[in-house]
Amino acid sequence: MGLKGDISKHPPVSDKAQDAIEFRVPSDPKILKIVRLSVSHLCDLAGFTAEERNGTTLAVDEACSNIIRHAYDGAHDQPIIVTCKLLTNGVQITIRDFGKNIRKSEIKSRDLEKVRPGGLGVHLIQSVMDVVKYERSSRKGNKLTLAKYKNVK
Amino acid sequence: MGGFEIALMENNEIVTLHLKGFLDAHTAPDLESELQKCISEEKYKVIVNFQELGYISSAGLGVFMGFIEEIRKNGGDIKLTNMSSKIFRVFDLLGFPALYEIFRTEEEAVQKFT
Repeated sequence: MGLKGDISKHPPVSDKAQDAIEFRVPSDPKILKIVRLSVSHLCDLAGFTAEERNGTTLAVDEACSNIIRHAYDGAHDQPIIVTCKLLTNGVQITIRDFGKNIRKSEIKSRDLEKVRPGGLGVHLIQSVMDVVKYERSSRKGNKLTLAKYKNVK
Repeated sequence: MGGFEIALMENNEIVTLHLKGFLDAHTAPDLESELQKCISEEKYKVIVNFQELGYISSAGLGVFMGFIEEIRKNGGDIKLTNMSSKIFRVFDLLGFPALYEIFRTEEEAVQKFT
């Protein structure tokens, strides 16, 4: 399900496996800091501005937080796989989990007028990223593909 | 990058929370229990100073949303101050400036309460 943008417009720098960085982390909120640091460094490699880097880092944090909360119901010992690729003009980050399928209603951005927590993360992801593509795995889990391009907006 | 710390100060019914470090899904429960404590002690005039906060995600913003209704119902408010442009950007993306009063300095927020 494509929520925003078209990933095919900006191909990866290389399709070779060694040009992708992949890491597997447990679904523990204390690991979010490590994920943010890694993504932030990748954004520096891509030559992002501070705003582009901060937005991308935030989006990946929000996506992982949503997986912990919704796909894994708060369990701290389940796998999250983050795959990062440098694109010709930005970065692509795929976040994979093996938890329950996240319902469509849970990945929808919500009305901000209502003063209550929850659903804010998806709104942020869609605000800061250029591509947001959600796929349910045919077996188990979810795959979220995000991309951010340089000098857009 | 360190962890997350909250320094609390009280002056004439106003509680000021100075946040330091990063506020994400891991550390948001610490802020939640501090605000819960303010409410159980019936302290409803709250200022949150973001000067030393380096990072915030929606888990942190959600904490403010979780308490604002009860605090305002009791005649109080949560006023936000000293945000860097990086922190303000996240609040702005979620439409917070329309829901919360955000001040440049703590003194301006204190004046608004008194």
